[in-house]
Amino acid sequence: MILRTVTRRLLHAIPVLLGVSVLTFMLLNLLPGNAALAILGPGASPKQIQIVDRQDGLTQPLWDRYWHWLTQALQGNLGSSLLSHESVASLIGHAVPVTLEVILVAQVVALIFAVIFALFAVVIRNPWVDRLLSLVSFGGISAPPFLFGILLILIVSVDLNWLPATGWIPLTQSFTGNLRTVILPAATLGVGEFALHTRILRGDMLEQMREDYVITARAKGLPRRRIVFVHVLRNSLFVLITVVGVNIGKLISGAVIVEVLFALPGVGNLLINSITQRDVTVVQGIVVFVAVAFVVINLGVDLLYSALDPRIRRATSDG
Amino acid sequence: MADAVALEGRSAGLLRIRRPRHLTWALWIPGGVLILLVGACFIGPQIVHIPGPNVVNLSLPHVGLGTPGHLLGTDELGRDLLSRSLYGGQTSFEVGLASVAIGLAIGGLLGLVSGFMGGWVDSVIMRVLDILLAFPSLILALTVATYLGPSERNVIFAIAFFTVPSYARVARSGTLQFKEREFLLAGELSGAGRTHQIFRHVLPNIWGRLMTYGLLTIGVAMIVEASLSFLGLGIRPPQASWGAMIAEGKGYLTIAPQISLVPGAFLFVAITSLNMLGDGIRARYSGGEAW
Amino acid sequence: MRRFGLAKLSMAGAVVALVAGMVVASGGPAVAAKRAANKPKSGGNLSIGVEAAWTTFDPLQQNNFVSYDVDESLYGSLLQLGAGGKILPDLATSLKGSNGDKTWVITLRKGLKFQDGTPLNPAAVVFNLERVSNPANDCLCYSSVEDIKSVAATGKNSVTVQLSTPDSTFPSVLAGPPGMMVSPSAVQSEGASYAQHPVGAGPFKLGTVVPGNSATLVRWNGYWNKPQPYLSSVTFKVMTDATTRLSSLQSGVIQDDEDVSPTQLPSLQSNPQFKVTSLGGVGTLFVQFQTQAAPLNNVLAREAITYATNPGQINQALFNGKYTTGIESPWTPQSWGYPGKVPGYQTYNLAKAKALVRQLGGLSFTLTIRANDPIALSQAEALQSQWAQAGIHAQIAVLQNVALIQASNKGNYQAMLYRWAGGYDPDANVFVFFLSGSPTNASQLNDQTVDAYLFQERAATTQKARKKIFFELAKQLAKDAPRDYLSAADWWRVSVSTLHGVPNLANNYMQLAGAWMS
Repeated sequence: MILRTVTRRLLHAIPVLLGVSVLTFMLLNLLPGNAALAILGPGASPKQIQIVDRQDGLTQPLWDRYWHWLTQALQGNLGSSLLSHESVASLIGHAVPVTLEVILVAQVVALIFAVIFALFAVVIRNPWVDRLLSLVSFGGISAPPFLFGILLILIVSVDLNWLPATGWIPLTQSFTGNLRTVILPAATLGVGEFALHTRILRGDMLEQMREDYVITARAKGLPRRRIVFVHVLRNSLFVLITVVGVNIGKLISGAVIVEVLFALPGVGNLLINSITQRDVTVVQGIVVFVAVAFVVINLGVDLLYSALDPRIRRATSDG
Repeated sequence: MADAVALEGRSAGLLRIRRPRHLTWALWIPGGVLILLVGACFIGPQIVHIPGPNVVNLSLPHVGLGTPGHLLGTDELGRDLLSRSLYGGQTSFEVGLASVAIGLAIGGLLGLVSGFMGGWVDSVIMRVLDILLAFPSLILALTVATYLGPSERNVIFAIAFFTVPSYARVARSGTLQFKEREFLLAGELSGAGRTHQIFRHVLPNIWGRLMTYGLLTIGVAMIVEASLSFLGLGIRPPQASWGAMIAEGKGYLTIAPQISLVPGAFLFVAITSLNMLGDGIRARYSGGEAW
Repeated sequence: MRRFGLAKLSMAGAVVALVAGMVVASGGPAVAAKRAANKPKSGGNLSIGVEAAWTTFDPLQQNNFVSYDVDESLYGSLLQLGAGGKILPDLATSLKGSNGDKTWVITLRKGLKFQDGTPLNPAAVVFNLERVSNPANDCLCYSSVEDIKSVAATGKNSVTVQLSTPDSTFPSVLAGPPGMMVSPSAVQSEGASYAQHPVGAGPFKLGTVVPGNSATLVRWNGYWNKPQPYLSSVTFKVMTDATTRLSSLQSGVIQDDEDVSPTQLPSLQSNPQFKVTSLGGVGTLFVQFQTQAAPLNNVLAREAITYATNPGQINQALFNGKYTTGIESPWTPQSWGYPGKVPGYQTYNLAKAKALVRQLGGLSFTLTIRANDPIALSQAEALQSQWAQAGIHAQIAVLQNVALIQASNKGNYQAMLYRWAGGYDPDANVFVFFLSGSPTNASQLNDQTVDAYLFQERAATTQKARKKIFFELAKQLAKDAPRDYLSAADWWRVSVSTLHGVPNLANNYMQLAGAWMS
């Protein structure tokens, strides 16, 4: 059953991925300027531009280039950067752990805080605490990431000089160094997530408190706290799983901004630089990589969700 | 976008209306702030005398808040920040509204047709939209904006472009639900045309859902506009928008942070109000708690 | 039209005037003088924020500013560029020209070795010069070495180069990419992947690289000029955004920011932790006009715009007066070709601008600038408002860098805000930019008189004679009005005050062998 679903979904993904790669290729080649101009800068002679174009294979017709890329990509070779001549796979390989770490730290911390805050709101049941919390979480959702990031840099790095404003120290090099460089970007990216999770979790928990099973449980004399912690929270967490899954796209977009702002060597920064420098093969590689990741993650979330759903979700579920 | 997700999950109970008293406030407070803000941006400059948004005064660069004649200070070119923030607000609201309207119209229609017709039409439309959906939204907008070049109109297109698939999904799922209903069956029996059925029966029934979703995405669209400007692909200078102003002030952050922070505050208040209003409306229709 | 080329351009020291039979005494760079007062200390790690990614570690493909900085540390060079455009010895102790500058003899320092142990002997130099001058290798520096006819080892430490044409600029060629010596055995063993595994004879060797993001070079103990290098490591960190670089400097992520804008200086100059170095500049910042397309093909329109521009006011308002203004020619006070005031140049005069606009019956055009450059944006907006006062209507168009370069190359624009980093030799700022038909003549100027001056200047042998011609050229250019000059392209470099021993070059190249930290 599950195997069939997976196969069907993956088969559906094939035309999508093909479409994504064709679209990227066309779009990028429509943009004015090419990699040779990015490499040589202003003041280069046509001869130099021609040399670089030839080295990059840009003198071949568009369709041939796409076909070449596709046949190579299907054999697992994503080609090499037009600018640095590094292999695209190794460029992405270097960048992915950074982006992944920022997203994961942001997400995990956001989830932990969200659970704490939502529980607090539901257990305390004080309308003012509740409203203040809501206001804060609304603010968090509404703050554009770069605005919040700029504020963090101004205050935490420049004024207080507590944490570095930019840069990245990989985990393999130094744990504390890595921690110091991941805090601000993860906070910038995580604040919106935290706010969103808090709101959804709190809303769902309050809604569940009115459900029959809770009313029955209370009638049986189970203490309210126990119901909240054990039953309601567990059920509501499944709602979050979907939200986290669907949010991956938004997180990747957010990561682009955050990586540019904090100068992190992640996928987002690599992508922006490659687009502005018309490094077609790298952009192509990243977009396909992200699209695959997107399909796989969504599939994973759906499977997880359907595995958990039928017995646990309440009857009045959204469907 | 994320709010929209939460919303989509719950809006099945569209007609189940419960109305706790504080919900009224949940609509009025953000609604009021928003009306004030929109009024200030669109009508304010007509009634109150302030310098034009592009009036450069090179002898008064980046003065601080509270300077006589420049309530919120000036930017690096001596332009009045209040005036630029108000006019910039016009741009930001215009971009938000227009891109959502376009995305809604195209996406809604595609979703309707897709859901209503079913079969291969549905498959083709949804597969194509899946391709767009598989791109992280900002990346798509970025590529489109790079291609089209900076201007308000192009930013609107770029943002509308990437919102189409999500509207289509909302419209399609709504359509599918109502397709099951009997009045459609009845309509089919009476031999009414398909176009007629779509506009007569299906559209009115999913209208509320689309509008609420649209309201929530206005804020998202405004943030995307700001993000594009931040990445240097926004509107055409010297026109102001909140995002473009924040980006322009980036070069002066350490000596004159107000250039970025004043429009930043406006943007923040606007988005917060929009989100609260959207949530209030959602709560009003679907029951449950608002903020 | 001998040599259009990047090497010629980017290598600021196209020092035609340098005496042909140059003999240079051996000895370290000028930094050494200071040593007595303040003794250099070994150790320390230096991180430099650079504004673009290097594209290669192979001098063969070297093409940008950052690549030059990195390669300089990896390879050194046969000759080195010094302050004021002087050519100093490095791996070679001397270079002598004879036979009317057609024959050049390179004398190599004794006992040199590459970082992989391969001896850097005359055979290695022959290998290198043949490598760059072989057209099959597609060296980006090819136009600067295509006149090499033959290279031969002619002694234990000497190499003789025969040129097909006389060339007094040959010393500056060997101070650029062609002078950076790669290890022949490494090239042979690595093949196509050499560019990722460079082996030179410079003060540092390649350590870890995060592609497109950072490159760490580590001290090489075998460097010829002991006890240099002093630093244990140097890391080049790519930070394209100026704000990012500055906040990184302030929070200690980097110790040197290679390009700080004057708007950022106030917060730094009062802080004793940092040292602001004003390098000046040998290039200029200007509005470039497309002289062959309407509406700016009319010289009156170009004059009107230039008359309506008040560079001093923009400099005061936006940059606290930090830039060098009063520029009326392609040269700055730091270039020996600088003529000062140029008779006939359209110095700010609003009344004249208005009169010209009336005569033209109005004037409107589009000014193109680079995207993602807040400073250029405020400059453009300030210009727009100044021009408006004369009744000139300008629109601003924003293009990403590559698109901007393409528009410039194709002449597909009306006016463009342009920064040319410039070269030490005055020729580097004019020849390829104003010669009719030159592919880099972006304003598409077509003036026989200008062409004549350009060839005369190249043929002249003394600096005095050339300076005279440059002055005549400046006056002729003022008549043609292809550019509206705003200021010199000045550089500011900010580092922590504990960094010493980096020579100040007005073209902002970095030489790190003598750098140390206290």
